[in-house]
Amino acid sequence: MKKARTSQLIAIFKFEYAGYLQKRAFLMMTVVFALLGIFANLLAGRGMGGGFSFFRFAEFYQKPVHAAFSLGPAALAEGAEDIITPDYLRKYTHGNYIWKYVEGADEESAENMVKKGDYKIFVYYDASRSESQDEKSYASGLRQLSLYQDTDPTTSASAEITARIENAFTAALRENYIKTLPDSAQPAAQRAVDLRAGAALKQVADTKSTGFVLAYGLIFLLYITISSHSHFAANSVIAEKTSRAAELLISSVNPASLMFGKVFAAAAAAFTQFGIVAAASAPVAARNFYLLGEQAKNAAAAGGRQASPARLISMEQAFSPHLWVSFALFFILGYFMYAFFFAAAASVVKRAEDAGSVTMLPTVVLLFGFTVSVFGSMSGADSTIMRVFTFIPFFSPMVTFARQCMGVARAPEVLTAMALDFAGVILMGLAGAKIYQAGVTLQGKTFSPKDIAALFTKKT
Amino acid sequence: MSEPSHSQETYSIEVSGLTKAFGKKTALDGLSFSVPGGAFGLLGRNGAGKTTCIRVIMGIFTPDSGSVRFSHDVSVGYLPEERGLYSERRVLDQMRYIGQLRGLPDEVARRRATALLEELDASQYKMMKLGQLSKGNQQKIQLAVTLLHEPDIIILDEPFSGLDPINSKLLKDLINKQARAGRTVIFSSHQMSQIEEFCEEIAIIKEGKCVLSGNLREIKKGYPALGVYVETDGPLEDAESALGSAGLKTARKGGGLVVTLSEPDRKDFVLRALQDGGVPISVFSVLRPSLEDIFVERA
Repeated sequence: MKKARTSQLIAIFKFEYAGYLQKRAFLMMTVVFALLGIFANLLAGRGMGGGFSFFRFAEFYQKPVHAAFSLGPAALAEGAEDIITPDYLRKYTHGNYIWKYVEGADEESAENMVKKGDYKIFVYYDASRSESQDEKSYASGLRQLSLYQDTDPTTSASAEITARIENAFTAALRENYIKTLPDSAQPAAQRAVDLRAGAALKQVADTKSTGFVLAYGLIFLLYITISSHSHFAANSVIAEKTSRAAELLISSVNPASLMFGKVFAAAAAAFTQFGIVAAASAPVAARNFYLLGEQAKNAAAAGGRQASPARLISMEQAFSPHLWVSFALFFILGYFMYAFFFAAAASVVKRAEDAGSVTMLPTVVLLFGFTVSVFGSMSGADSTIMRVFTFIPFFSPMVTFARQCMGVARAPEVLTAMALDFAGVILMGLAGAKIYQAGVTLQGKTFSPKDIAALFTKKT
Repeated sequence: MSEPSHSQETYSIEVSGLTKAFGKKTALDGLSFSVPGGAFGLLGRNGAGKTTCIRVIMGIFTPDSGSVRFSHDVSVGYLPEERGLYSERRVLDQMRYIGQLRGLPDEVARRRATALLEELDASQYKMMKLGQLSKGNQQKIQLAVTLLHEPDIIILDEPFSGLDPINSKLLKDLINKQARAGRTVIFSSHQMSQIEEFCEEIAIIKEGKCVLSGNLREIKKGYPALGVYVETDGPLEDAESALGSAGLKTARKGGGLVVTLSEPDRKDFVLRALQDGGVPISVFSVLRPSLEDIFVERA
């Protein structure tokens, strides 16, 4: 029995999949997407001399980041200005940051300059004298920096640049301190000194963060791909229903097998399409990556003085493998969830002309999830509503991924969301099969929400 | 098509007390009948419950109560009333697909599909898209799909609708062949002449209940004679005169006379009147109600 079902599932999959490959509309759509992929990569290459398809991100990343710092009286008294220079900080934060020393600026003026948009980041450092001396009389302790920035401090991008600035100041502090020791004591001090600089983050503006741009772009991509390809399954059901082949099929096959076979075939068709688009774009994308690498090398050779499109923070985030793995998994989960939803909705269609009205419900739910993920990210990626929606399967793929891009979703949350999504997909598939079975045999009859509810409360 | 695996065994179905409601509408209301094998006609007006009954037999609907029992572990071929296949796919591809869904290996499905298309004089369409064929030819393909896995029981819901006389004959021949091969063929139809032509057994459904079922000949015997048909070797006028003198009403039909009986059992009186009038009788047959008459009365 199980073997027979598997054979049927394979037969359905093969037949449906072959159907996509023979469909003129599908082939044309694939060609159009492939051309768009190539075009996007060409634009990316032209705009930034390298990069990836999302040229809008690239354009954003390409801009040099203007940053500034100021040293307070205590820091100056310690001779910090000898080490902490614009060039010194640029080496730590890479060439895309253009650092400037603003003499005499205090914390208030630093904040105002960031607010006005003169600088994206302003570091005010005034070494505290609170550190202790250990038994060998080496200094240790934490010295505080004030770091003003116009990006969301909760993002991983912000965490990355903060860490780099802290490292820069920690190294400067240590070097400055060790220089004050006798030559003979310096090697031991290199190992023993435990001076660290810690940044107090102060967000002063609500402009878009790199995390948001990335999240927005990828969520949009997620929404578009789920939305366009979930319709494949719906169209397949509608075609079957309007051709009246459905009754013949469900007299031979378990409706769940039929539904799953259709959705798997639609998924395979979608992935085939993505594969073709990726393969077509690959040569141009490869050229872009080559140019990008060249620019990064040039920037490094110039001591980081040139503005590089490979702004480390953005590129690291953009090419973070775990983000792309999440993207793929959330796409798969989201795709299956909505494909079953669309297919179930399509099976209650009376006539082909009614397809738009019945697929409105899944479309609205999908759009709602997209809206929540985008606007939720803007207003607070870690807000209660975003956290709650993380665990609701219909919205979870986009909302959880948005939170992940913004650097606020913890790994257990992401894994729990994925597990719930997986369970949701199975339940949606089974529920969809039940609705499908009832829906396909009711040509000409209106199938009300009450009828659907009845399917789950009594035998059909 | 090969013979069924259980050579000349009959495949019977017992339908007992089926009920099925859709909301407030009761489609089947304690429906019971037996299909003993051979060709079986399922009759009823539109909305009487025939298609719902067939869908329950096929397992598409679960009944609210009652049961359907098959005499063997059988395979069933089904031609639904709401039929159709994929208009954008090639005939042979979809026949292979349906064959595989019914458990045939691809190669076997391909071979049988090819053979059936030849038998139905439709092999020239096998590489064409179904949508390119005429309605009648599409019907043939659908019938071929129904028979592809060589089912023990064949259920045909309104199989003749939309067929021209030539294709109807082709279908009739095929159904006869299946029945002769020992397969059980159940079909519903509004065309009583076709049911009468094929079926030994019938069931008439009305408002979800079985109002009449059994052997068609026996059912007809149970109905009183409506008249007598007479042909004579002599002049027809002599017969008319003899019967008229006995107070019987006559009407010419074909080469003979139809004598209306005022009382069902007066056929002997007709025979005596003819003999008394010296009319040489060549044909004397009792007219029983047709299936259509029975249907109109009971359904």
